[in-house]
Amino acid sequence: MSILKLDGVTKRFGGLVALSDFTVNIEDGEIIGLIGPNGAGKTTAFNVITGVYKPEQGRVTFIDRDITMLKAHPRTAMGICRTFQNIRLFDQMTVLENILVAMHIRLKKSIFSVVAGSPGYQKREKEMKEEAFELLKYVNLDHLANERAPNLPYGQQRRLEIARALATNPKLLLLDEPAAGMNPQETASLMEFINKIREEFKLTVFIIEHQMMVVMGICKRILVLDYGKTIAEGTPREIQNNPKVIEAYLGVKDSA
Amino acid sequence: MTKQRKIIFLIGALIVSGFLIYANFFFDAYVLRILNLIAIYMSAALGLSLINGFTGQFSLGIAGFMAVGGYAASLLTLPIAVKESIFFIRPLIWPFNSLELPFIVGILFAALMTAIFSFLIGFPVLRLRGDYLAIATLGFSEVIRVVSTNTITITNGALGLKGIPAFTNVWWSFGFAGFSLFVIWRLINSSYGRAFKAIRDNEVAAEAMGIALFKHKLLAFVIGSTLAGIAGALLAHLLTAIDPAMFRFFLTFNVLLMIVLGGMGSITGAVIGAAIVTFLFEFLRYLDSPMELGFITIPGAPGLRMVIFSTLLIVMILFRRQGLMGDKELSFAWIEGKLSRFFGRRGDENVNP
Repeated sequence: MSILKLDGVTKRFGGLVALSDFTVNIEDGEIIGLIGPNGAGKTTAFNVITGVYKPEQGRVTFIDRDITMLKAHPRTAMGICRTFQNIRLFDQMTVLENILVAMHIRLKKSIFSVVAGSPGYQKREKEMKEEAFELLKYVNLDHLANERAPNLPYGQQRRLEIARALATNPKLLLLDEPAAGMNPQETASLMEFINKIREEFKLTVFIIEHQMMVVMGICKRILVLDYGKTIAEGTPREIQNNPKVIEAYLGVKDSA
Repeated sequence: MTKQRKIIFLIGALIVSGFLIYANFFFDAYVLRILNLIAIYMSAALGLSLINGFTGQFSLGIAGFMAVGGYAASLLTLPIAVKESIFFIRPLIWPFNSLELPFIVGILFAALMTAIFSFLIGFPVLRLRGDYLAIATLGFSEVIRVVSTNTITITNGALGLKGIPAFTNVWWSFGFAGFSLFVIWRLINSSYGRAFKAIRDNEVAAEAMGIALFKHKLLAFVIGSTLAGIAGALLAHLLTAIDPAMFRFFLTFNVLLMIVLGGMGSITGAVIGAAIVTFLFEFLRYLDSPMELGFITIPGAPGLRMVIFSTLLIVMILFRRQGLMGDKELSFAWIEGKLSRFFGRRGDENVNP
């Protein structure tokens, strides 16, 4: 079953074509990689999927529903959630609160019942805290629950960002360069972590990554973008030997 | 709340009400007026703090909403005879000319009107961000003031409303300050409060986590403005006379000063800021009058006390940009820590004579 379908999506910024006729079909439960040189349009593709940008042409379909023109927050409610290339945590809040913010979408209580402190809300708040704590325990951050988010080491901030995305109950998780700035050891544990949550939460994962070790290691299928165009698609082995991909990354071989 | 905290809270509430009863009987009218002003500004500062400090939407429109609240309540509570005598240029329009209602109705009407006004203004301007939002809200606040100068059949124009019944006493003002404190405290520590703070900390991430940005900004804007509107109604019934000139940018600046001084993003900060600024405003009044310093005499310069406030603000921004409290709160845990240390030490002495 197809979970996300992009059909001929084009996004321009003035004269620059960031994404041109981009088409991809992601199956439920798949883990798919998106690679390409800097400025190839990878993050733009994520922004179109999450609703930050509206494409000029093409359609975005999520579980048989056309979401091309839908705003960003209802998409999160439907089950699309992401992390960011440059970590975006809520800096003046604690680790636990960061997780709780992501659960606000599922609160479904009016502001009046919240201010009046209705028993229904208090029960819900308690449940949310328990659930958030459980999630933190699962990602091994529970001992830091009351620490402010920026005080965490880099690797744990990345982990917290993924945990926060998980708190929205996503079906499709978009990871934007999760291994950026990590050493090989951290990268290996991140790969293990991504595989673990994918099985545990029954996720479909769409991942942008520069580190070939990650993409080749966990993705079954890889898309390669260059100048907003899909130049190759296939298994890691196929991608590695594709002359177009080598050309995009390393330049044309000098024939002279 | 634990039992211990309930006791601390009750003792605190008792001390405040005991003080108010004492003040009501033994303090003179001038001191009582300052106390009332402190409480009224606390409510307005808490309202602005919700918008600027917690939700991070820099709004400069608080004076306009205080004006709406002040006029809305006064138009209902003014005695019919007074209305006939002060509206001598053009008569007051129906139905206000035949209404004379209790204070509580006036306050509820003020709340309703400011909620409607802030919704109508917030709807377009909250699409803006940062400086643009500040300028737009400031503009709308001035529009409210100019409109109130010109709608003579409702607001009596530049002459303003006089003879408003002096309904505001320490019970009303501190009662409402307590109510505002309760509402903001509950809100900030709830899921909605976390959503507000998330918008302040990182709008892009907040939206990606499914928070409806516009809805939550508008919620904070309307709630904060409504609190300020009720504060305006209480102010009108304390001073017994209002006119458009009262609600210039200067008033917004004062309330803003309170939350900047106390600490944006701190409830305790807004309360402390309101108390300090209101107190200093009266205490420094002698600076505006002529002074004799031995052999030299400084002629009185109206507004000289504002120089002190400006200096205070500059010093604050240079040395303690986060304000007195930053984003910290006076919490039960903090009080309990102090208390247990105090009693703990005493206890030790008893054990080891």
